[in-house]
Amino acid sequence: MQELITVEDVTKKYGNKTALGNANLKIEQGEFVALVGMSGSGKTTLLRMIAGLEQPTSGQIRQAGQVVDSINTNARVMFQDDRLLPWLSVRENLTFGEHSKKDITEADSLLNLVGLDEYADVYPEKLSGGQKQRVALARALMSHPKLLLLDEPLGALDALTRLNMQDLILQICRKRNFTTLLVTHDINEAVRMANRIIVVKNSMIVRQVENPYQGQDSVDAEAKQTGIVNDILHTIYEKD
Amino acid sequence: MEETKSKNKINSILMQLLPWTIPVALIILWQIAVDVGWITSSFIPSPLSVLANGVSLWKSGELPKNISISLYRALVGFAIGGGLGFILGFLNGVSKVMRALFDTTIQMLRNIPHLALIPVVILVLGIGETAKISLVAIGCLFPMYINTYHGITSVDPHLIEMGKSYGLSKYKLFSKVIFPGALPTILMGVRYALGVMWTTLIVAETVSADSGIGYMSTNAQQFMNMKTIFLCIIIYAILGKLSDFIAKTLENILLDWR
Amino acid sequence: MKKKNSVRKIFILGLVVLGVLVAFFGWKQTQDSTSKSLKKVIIGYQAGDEFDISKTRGEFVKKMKKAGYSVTFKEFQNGAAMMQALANGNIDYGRMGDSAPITSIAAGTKVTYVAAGGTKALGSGVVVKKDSGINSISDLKGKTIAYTKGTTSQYMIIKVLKKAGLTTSDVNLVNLDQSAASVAYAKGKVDAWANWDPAIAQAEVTENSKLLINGNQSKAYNRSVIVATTSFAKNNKSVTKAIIKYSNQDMQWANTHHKKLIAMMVKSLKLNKKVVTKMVNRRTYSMHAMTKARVAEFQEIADVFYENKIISKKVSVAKYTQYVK
Ligand SMILES: Nc1ncnc2c1ncn2[C@@H]1O[C@H](COP(=O)(O)OP(=O)(O)OP(=O)(O)O)[C@@H](O)[C@H]1O
Ligand SMILES: [Mg+2]
Repeated sequence: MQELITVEDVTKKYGNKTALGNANLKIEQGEFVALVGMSGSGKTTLLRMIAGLEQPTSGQIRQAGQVVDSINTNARVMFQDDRLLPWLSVRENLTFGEHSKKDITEADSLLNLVGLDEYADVYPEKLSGGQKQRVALARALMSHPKLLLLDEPLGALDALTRLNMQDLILQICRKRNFTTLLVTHDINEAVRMANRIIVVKNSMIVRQVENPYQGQDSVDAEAKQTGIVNDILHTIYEKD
Repeated sequence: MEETKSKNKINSILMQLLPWTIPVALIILWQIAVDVGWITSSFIPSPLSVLANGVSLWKSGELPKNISISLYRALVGFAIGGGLGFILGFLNGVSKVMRALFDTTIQMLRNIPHLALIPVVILVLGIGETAKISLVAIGCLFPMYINTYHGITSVDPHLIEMGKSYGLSKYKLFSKVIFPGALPTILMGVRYALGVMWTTLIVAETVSADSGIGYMSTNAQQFMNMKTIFLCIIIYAILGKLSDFIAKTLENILLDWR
Repeated sequence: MKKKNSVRKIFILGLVVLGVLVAFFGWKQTQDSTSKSLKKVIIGYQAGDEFDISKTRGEFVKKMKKAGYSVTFKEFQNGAAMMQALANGNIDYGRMGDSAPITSIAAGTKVTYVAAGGTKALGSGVVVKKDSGINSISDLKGKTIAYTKGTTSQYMIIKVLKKAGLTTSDVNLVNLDQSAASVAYAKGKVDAWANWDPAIAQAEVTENSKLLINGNQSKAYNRSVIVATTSFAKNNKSVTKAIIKYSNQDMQWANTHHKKLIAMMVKSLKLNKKVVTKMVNRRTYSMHAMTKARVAEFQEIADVFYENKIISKKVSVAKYTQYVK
């Protein structure tokens, strides 16, 4: 396995406040890693630094050996809010108005993948919340990025839609061999989807848990998954 | 089923006619009031006599000439002022250096009622076409500037961040994210500037002109030619409504995503 | 939905194209067709005045062209606007009433009287309604009189009141512009109105009014003058001469062709024929170079204005006069 992302002694401070302290992390090609932790623990901060939207106060982040020191266009972020452009049709949101045949074909096949081919020509206004998130997912997958960064993309969805979207994302990521970092505060979600779970607490990475039961839904595997969830919950709520 | 459909159609036609009932009723009332003698026709001429006056002025070639000259001044002034306002608003919206350089000055100038500049404009540019067009341009510049600037600076920063993160080129970022995001506000500026365009033009044409609708109106005023005064008022109303209609339809076409 | 939009697009596009075409037509009309080799002379005038007659008749421009001058006429709504254009050098000559230059000269504008025309004396003065009970100027005591500040009517009021042995505090003066005054007078909001033709003639014809005192009686003659910027006048005596000569020829024509003149003015001023006839019949047109007598006449205005604190500086008219001969 090849190493894609290296986070080395990274600290991020806003003024005097440490948002993330001395973080070290490696993500390998093809991995699906989840980042969990309480609100304000520094998850988004780490993700935004990997995306190059924020620079570390000290330390270094590398992607495939290259230092990330400006906007990282080799990574695609799927934000918590869909951030679709309301003045472009669903297809144009994927292609950013590009009319080349190649782009349009790819956009249409991705829309087909997320089950929205009929909606290619409508404006995002006309879509439901879950449909918008699926468009945002398809947009993030355009031209097969080396790294997918998902920041609580399903936070705003109802439980049932959420489960469907989890399946969809996982299925796509495995089938197309994406490397993915998923930020979530839902530990069940993390354990269902990721092969490794990283726990952030008080601005520090405190634990990394391997999860051999990723994506499995047999009764036995689900019991094992629940065990891991409880273990992680214990870490998070444990008194220092 | 069929019946409700046709009923709906009649309803929608009625709804479209509704805004016109009051103006039409007023005009009819006005005509009656003059005919019966409730108001003196030498002060307030009847709508029909105003119309007849319009027809005779049209036939003599005076009306088409003055309308076309006013339209020329209005459009050129709007193009120059609106264009300049857009460019300045755009530059200041995207560049911090430009903003620091220009914004304070423009905000200061903006607060001067532009009609107060008439003496200065006459002093610098004389009384020819340039002066009149410049006045219209100054009038149109500020609403376009303010709205363009405001539109561009208030585009959702999250969308801009998304665009950058998705590797859009500067041009793409502008044409697909910033400009469409600012467009509703910019079009509001266009509508407002069109209104200012007409009001400024009337005043500009009263300063010293020998043509244009504003000239026709002041000239008529001097000799208490009420029919022509009313005609000019009506022409302004029509031109104003027409340009507003164009702007509104433009909004509907360009902002069909809303 | 899409189809409706494209119909609308075409419609709007058509409207915009039409607008641009009409505007282009307008632009063409604003372009001067005068040739470039001639010396340009720009003359300011007001509707219905001596130059308006010349402009409508057409002879003046032709004769000036032969003499080597290309004349452009610019119309103004009042003397004040014309003075401003003169001060800025936007026009070379301006035709106005006799008192407008006085206030401008006092304010520091550098203009020169170059010619004087006929008066409107018989058509200038104070009008009252016939049934108002005002039969002589002394009856004006306690009445409300409309006038327009900065115009000859201000001078007129002072002269009339003096003649009646009254002062400005014996009457109620209201300063209204022409159109406001005419409505106020017609509606009976003011008892008397100091003004001149065609407004006076119109009041007489349509408002059952009479002229209480005219300009010859009040000695406020209301004479036409031509002024030029001082520097232009100094360097262009021959232009001034030509203007006076050809303008006077038109004036003589006007005096002998009342029928044509009346028809012309009815059309250009859009006034009732009765009103125009009354106005034309009591007026003698002329245009001459300045004389000592004229200077004395205008000096009187300057002195009265100074005494009444309408201007704050003494003006010596002779200093601002050019005698071409
Ligand atoms: N731009 C900023 N300026 C100042 N402080 C910030 C900024 N962004 C984040 N912080 C602070 O850094 C800390 C970590 O924030 P971060 O957004 O990474 O939390 P999070 O783990 O993503 O929380 P949540 O689950 O609520 O999204 C928080 O205490 C927050 O207040
Ligand atoms: Mg967060």
